[in-house]
Amino acid sequence: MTFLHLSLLAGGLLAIVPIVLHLWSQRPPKPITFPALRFVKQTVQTHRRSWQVRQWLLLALRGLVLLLMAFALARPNVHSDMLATWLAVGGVGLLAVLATIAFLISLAGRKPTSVIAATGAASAVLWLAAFGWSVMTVTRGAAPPALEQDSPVAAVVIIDTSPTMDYKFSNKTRLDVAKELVSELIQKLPSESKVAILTQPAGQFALDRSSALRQLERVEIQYQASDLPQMIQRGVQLVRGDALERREVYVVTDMSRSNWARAEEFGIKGLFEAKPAVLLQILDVGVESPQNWSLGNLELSQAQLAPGGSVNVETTVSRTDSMAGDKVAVELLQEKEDANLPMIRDGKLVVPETTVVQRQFVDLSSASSATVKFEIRELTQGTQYYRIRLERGDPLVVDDVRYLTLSVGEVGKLLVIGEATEERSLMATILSASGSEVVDECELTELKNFPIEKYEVAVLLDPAGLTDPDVGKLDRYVQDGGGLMIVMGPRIGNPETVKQAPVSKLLPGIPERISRRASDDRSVYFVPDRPSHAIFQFFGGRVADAPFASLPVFRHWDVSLKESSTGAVPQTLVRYSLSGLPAVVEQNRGRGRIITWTTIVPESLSVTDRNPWNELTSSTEWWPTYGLMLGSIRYLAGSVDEKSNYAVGQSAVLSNPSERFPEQYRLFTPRGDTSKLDVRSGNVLIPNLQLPGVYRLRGVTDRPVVRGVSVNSPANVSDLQRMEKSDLEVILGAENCRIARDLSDVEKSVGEARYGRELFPFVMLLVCALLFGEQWMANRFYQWNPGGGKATKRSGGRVAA
Amino acid sequence: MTAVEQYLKPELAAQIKRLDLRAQMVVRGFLQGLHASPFQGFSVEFSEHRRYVPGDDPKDIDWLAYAKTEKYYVKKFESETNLTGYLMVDLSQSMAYTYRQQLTKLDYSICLVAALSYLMIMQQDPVGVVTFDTKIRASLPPKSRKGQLPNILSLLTKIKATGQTDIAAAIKQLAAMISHRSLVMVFSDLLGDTKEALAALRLLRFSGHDVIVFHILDEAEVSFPFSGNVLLADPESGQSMPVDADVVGQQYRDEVAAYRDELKNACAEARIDYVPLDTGMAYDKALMEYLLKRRDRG
Repeated sequence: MTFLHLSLLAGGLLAIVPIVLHLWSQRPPKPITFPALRFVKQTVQTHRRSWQVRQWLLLALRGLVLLLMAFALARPNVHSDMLATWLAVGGVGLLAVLATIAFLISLAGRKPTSVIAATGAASAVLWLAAFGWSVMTVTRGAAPPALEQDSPVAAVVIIDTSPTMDYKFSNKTRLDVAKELVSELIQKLPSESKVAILTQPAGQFALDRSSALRQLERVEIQYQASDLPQMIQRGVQLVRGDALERREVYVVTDMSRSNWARAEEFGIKGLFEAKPAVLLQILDVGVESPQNWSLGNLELSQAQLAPGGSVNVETTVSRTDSMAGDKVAVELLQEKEDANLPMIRDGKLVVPETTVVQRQFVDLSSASSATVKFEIRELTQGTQYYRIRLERGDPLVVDDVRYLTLSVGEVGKLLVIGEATEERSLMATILSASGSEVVDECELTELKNFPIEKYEVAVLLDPAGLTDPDVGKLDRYVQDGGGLMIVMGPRIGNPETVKQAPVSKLLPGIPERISRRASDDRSVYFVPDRPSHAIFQFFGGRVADAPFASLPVFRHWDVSLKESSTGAVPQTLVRYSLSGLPAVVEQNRGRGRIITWTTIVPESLSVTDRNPWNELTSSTEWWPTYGLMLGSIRYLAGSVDEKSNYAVGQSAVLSNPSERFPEQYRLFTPRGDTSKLDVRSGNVLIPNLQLPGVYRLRGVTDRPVVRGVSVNSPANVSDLQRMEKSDLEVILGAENCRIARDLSDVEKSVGEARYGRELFPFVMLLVCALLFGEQWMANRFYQWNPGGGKATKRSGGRVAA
Repeated sequence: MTAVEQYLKPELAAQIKRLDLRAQMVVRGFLQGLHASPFQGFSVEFSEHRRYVPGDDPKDIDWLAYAKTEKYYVKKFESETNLTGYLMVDLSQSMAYTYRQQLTKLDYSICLVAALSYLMIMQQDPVGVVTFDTKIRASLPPKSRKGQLPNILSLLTKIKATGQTDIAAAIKQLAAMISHRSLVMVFSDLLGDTKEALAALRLLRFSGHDVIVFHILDEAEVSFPFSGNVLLADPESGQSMPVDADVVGQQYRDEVAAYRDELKNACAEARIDYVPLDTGMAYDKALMEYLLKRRDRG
């Protein structure tokens, strides 16, 4: 227990005033002739003891009132947690006073001994209990901080800037409300206080309150989850590092659950157990029952896209539980191609127009979420920008629209390496349908001097007699990002020789033997093993329906897969039926990939010196093989991954081959800010994507070049589900969990924590009760009967009656 | 309240210096008030009928007589004459006490005795006055003639409160003096030995006399209007006691009320009428008590 005005306790000495007055200040009695003295004598004889007790009791009450008045005016404070204990001690003390009064009255009233003994024992026990308890509370209980109310504060204000703070209610976003509250809070802090505004887990104290307010004005939504636990940790570090004795951390948040995900990692509860003490105050600016429609993250059915192919885009539509169900329209919009846009006109960003290309209605009458899927067909080469949006508006805008960029790879030059056979010509013919403008052929013998690095994809068609330099060259080609398709056929050698041949270094495993079947045995055919892989993109997600069973394979290499020297495990994309052996295998090497077919395609129809290996290209219904070959080539053509969709907070990297793209770009952010970007090491880096939307790059080679990436804020960060107080108590500890809705709440709870709880009102209440008791007792004791006719009449009348 | 009735208030009656006039005014005031009361007529006896003449009160017409004779008759009343009254006045020192310095208990008693004497002589009752302290100091034998009143008033104007009192002795002395059944009215503050006084009153009652005790206290002795520390002194015994009047007040009033109750009960047991009075009370209560007693005797 501490006192705000300790010196006023000396006022308790005034309690002796009534005693002094009682003992020494009695005036000499006024002589009055009174014949009925005998009645006075009888009265005095009867009531002398009772009067004495009453007088001393009254004296004690008056002294107690003065003592308590002095105690109250000294403004006693106790720790907030000890308030209940002190009130209980006060209650026991009051009971002790009442028991003592009862004891004295029973003593004066000559009550039975049992009554006197019982009241006396009760009062003694109660006094002992009150005294012992108060001593124990003083010595063992938590003491309130003995700080002056106007001493400066080291205050860190953490502002939640996650997307949910953009929720509009009463025409104000939660961030607007937060800024207003914080502004008032800063202005109300004692002079010479230090303030730091944190919107991320870094920052320092502002120079003064004005600069803190200016910093506050610049705070805006960050479109990613606020890591409140880490910021609290930083805030506590910051205030503990300061010399000011009063340390406070304020967290202004809408209580969204996603912002507290890392609470356990930072052990927030333990932070506040350490010394010196730091006060944590949470300001809840959220809405109790938010109403919101939201779109989830976008999911693409495949990563690699090829011209003419299709892709499925899937997302979820949800509504908050607090709102009524309804149907909602979801639209897919596509941006028109315009090589001259984006541009800044009249200070505003001008981007190509968008048109609604698909619309779906989602019924959320009963369920709170549903999946919606759009199929985008006939992909064209280049970059396409899409947007999926909810037709219906709601208070939180950020999750009503999702951005999507589809980069459909451009197939560059292709090369077919092999002996000058009919099969090589057939392969070149087939590849020319892949969209490539150039398909060249190369003799194995010329490979040593052939500039294969100019080609995007090379097809090694059943090679025989590859030398070590040739293999080394092809390996480097792949390592540097080239795509290589190896077709194993009869010419590559027999199992014994192939195992030792240099070409084995390019194969995904060890060719053990050649499986053979009779030409009328149609039981072995291709079975797609990974239907979602990009090489099946031509089948539009229905690869299982493709009639591979009508395309039998009679001979193929049995390859037992093995890990590469770098530890990469080859992936089987297509297997053979019955045996399950790999038919088409993918392996990653460096920046490139190799796809190996273990049976020959295409196979010449005019082969006479051996039995045919398969009917994959000789059948009239060979289109599945054709789709699979083109898929393989296009997949390999996009060997260098180029991500086009990012989350807020990431940095985008786009490859920028100098022969196809400019050396310098102008970057247009979704907000319309522009800046120059230089190409470094063949890549363009767009750092720190902070806003959801499309970041566009515009440059010029011999023609205008426009590129771009889409940025979305993750769906989970716009989840409006609120933290319950009980959850926060687990994270922060019940004693640190102070949640306020407005500044008056803050002043109350912070005031309690800063200065403890004042006992003044409670003591004054007790003083009032004692004053009332004193007045009542005095009135009973000294029933004043004014002289004169009226009193006499009343008295006489009563007697006569 | 009419102008005459106001003289029932002691403070107004005291303004009339002449005792005969004062008594007259008190009795008139009393009777004036009595006209409208149900007690009308019970103080006198029916005597005869006489013919109604204009000016008589039509209420006095006897309608039964009219029914029999078809003539208007009014009832004629006359008073009883067989109630002999003795008025005993206490002359102890305490009877001279007054707190408000207006009307002592003795003054109050004298006025009351005078009024009662006047009323009794009006009723043609023989009335006598006895004054006493430790013994009977003066006595006027009861007579009903009109000349008795000046004698009584003459005696009353001379009496003064002197010293101590012995009411029991005085009553016994009076009992020995009275030969036939009478109405004895005692005017005293009864601050002496109460037990002996009650015993003497019982003796008087058992001798066949009717007794009315007018217990007269000062207004202050009943209401105890003091405050603060006071030194109370008894003029009769000379004893004194310092007390805190604020503390003592209520218990004192309770004590006086208890004493009066005790007297009342004791008197009731002996079929003695007990009339507690104080100097602030109107006289009509005492006068009414006399009339009631007279009726009961009838």
